[in-house]
Formats: sequence, structure tokens, C-alpha cells
Amino acid sequence: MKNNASASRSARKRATPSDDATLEQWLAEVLDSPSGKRKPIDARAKAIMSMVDRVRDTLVPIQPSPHFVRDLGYRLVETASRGKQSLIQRYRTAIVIGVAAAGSVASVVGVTALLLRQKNRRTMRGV
Amino acid sequence: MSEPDSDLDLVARVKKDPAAFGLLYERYVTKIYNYVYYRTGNHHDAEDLTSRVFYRALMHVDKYTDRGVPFSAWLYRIAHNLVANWHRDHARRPETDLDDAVLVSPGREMPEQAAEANEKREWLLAAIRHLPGERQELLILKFVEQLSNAEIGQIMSRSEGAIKSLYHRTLLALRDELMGIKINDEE
Repeated sequence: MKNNASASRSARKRATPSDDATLEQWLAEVLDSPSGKRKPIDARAKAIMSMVDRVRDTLVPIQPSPHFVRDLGYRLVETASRGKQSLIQRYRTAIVIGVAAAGSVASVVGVTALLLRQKNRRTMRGV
Repeated sequence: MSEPDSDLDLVARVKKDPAAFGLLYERYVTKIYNYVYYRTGNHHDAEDLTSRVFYRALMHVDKYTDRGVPFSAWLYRIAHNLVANWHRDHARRPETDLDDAVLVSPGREMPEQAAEANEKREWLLAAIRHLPGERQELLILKFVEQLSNAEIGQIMSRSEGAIKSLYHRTLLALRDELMGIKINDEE
């Protein structure tokens, strides 16, 4: 029986390749057009359209459990907040060293600028 | 009334304050759950994989930049990869049917009519689940998520035209699959 079934299916496939190409062409033209323009070319096209409607009725959006949504949301936000804290902790030493280095550089630049200014004044008075 | 923040705005906020990830999560949790649910066929795995999708997204969101791939497509791609791994791991296990939730008729049908309608839905879902993964994915994105061909193309890394063509071939394949199931049932 199984052999008969598969034979009949392959026979059908062999017999209609050009029909499928026509059908595909027709689908390309009408499927995304407004429903009023969807006039099936034959019974097979009509069957495809009816199948599309059944797929639409079957593949419907569902709602996840509210408990799951709430729980996962809570865990994600907690993980995200912990991640931020650990990031600050991980870079704490680097931040301290960076701030200290920037402070040192600022001091050196400030002292140098002061010395240059004093030197300039002395030069001006000398002139 | 102010317009809701775009995904890109929210991603920028998350990069400064990771706790803002909750807003992106709220926006997409149902969509990702639906996608995973229809690809795995049961609520338990859908919850597990949805969790993994969002944890992975949280870990990598700082690396996300919009190079023509919207955040939503990026999220679906994570889901796609995890579902593909899941299918690989479960390849030797028997397939599980979709939970009853989807098969219960939403209308006020008589018990006999409801049973018949459920049987038809079950039959159609079985046929869809026999299609190759990318065709199942296309049908889910088109009908469950109600995305356009262009949006589906961004998720599946294909052009809009390629998606359109794949959709038409998928419908023909589904028709053949349904006829195959019918023939096998009649034996």
C-alpha cells in the first residue's frame, strides 16, 4: 500500500511540473495583492488559497505564561544590574590609577606653566 | 503623547545602563516566545530557549551595532541559532506534538465540531513540522509574527525577492506534504 501511495505521489509530481510552475507564477502575482484581486485560475489554485487561510487560522500568536514573563524579566534585570556593579569593581583599581595619573599630569602642567610665566615676567622686566 | 523609544535608542540606553535591558525584553518576549514555541512544539522548551535567547542578548548587546540588521532581526537570529542547536540535540528523540493550547478552538463550537477542527489543525501542524527548518521558520515569521517579506529577509539573511519565492515554493511543498499525510492516513 505504501508503495502504491508513494508511486501515486511521484506520478502526480512527474505529471505536473509545468502546472506547478504556472501555479507558482500565479501565486507570485496574486498572493500579496488585495484579497479582491485573488481570483484563482483553477481548482488547484483555489485549494492553495484555502490552505493559506487554514495556515493563517492555525498559526496564531499565543501568550506565554505571565509568571514566566515576570520571573524571567526580574532575573534579567537583576543579572544586568549585577553585571554593571561587577564592571565597576573590576575596573576600580584602573579608575583610581587613571584619576591619580591625570591629577599628576595636571599638576606638572600647572607648575610648568607657572614657571614659564614667571620667567617671561622676569625677562620683560630685564628688557 | 510621546513616541515610544526606538530599539536603537533603547540599545544605546542599555549600553550605559544595563538594567534598561528590561524594556527591550518586555518589547520582544512574546514574539520570541511564539517563534520558539512553534519551532519546538512545547511550552517547556519554549520557556527554556526564550530565557537563553535573552540571556545571550544581554551578554552581547554591548557589541550590537545596526549594520543594516535591526535589533529585532538580531534577536531572531539568536533564537534561530539556539533552536537549530536544540533540533540537533533532539534529532534522535521522537518529535513532540504541539501542546493542546494551540489546538483548542477559540470559537464557540460544539464538542464534535471542536474535535474535528482540532484534528484538522493537528494535521496541518504535523505537515508544517515535516517541512525543512527554513520553511517552517518562514511560515512562523509570516503568520505568527506577521512580518513583511522584507523583515523576514533581514532575519533570514536573504533578499525580499528570495523570501517571496521561498514562500511560494513552501506553499506548494506544504500542499504536497498534506496530500502525502492524507494518502498515508487512507492506507
